[in-house]
Amino acid sequence: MSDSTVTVTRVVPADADRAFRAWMDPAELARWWWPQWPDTTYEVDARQGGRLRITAPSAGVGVEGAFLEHDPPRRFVMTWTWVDDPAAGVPADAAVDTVEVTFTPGDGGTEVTVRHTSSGHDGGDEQGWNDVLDRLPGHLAS
Amino acid sequence: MSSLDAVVGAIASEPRRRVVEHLADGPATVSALAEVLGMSVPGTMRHVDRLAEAGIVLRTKAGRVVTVELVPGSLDPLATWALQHRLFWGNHLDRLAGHLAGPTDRSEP
Repeated sequence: MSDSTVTVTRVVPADADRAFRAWMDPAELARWWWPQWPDTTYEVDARQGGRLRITAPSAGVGVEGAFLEHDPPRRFVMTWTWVDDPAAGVPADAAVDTVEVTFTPGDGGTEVTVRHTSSGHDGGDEQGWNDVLDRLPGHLAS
Repeated sequence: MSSLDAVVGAIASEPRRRVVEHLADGPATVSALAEVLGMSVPGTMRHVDRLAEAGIVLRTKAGRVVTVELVPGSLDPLATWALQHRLFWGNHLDRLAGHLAGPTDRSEP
């Protein structure tokens, strides 16, 4: 199965430095990443080769990754693995995705673009999910 | 109908969500659920039927007593949907924009 990439873009009302920092500072992440789950923990080693780990035990979800590229305030690329059971850590057969985030200065703020590439490791449901989700960008952009 | 549609349809009802939440603590009889909902047994049965059709709950008969229990993993399609990449990132970037537009932003140089 070939890779699939999802691209999502938003303009945020801040300069690139500030926007980049919102992703790298655990205290800032806590304000916007999963604020609905107060037990979420945020660990970020913000450098190339450094790791990021966000876990929400109460929700039974987490993400782990490592920075493949770290180029503030323009861009970072990281590995991305969903963790279903934060206490157990990353399962051996987990799919490893890649997430690239770019920060482009523009009028009225910074364009933040996320490109999430899945290896298709999970297969199966992906097409069905895409069909459902293709209806969402319009809704989310409004 | 996809399993996701069935699950979403089944929990698109306040009483049925209360049934699911109650069953999270363990199996219950229909009459116990009727008490939780403050509803008649036949009315409660209707809601249990909907949840059973969607595969969220299972009825088990032991002697003359029927108990209702949650089917493990039956709500997973909902969680998976919410975590799908496009929805996940769209939702997160909206919140990032909101965060960066927030009051603390004003103190930034």
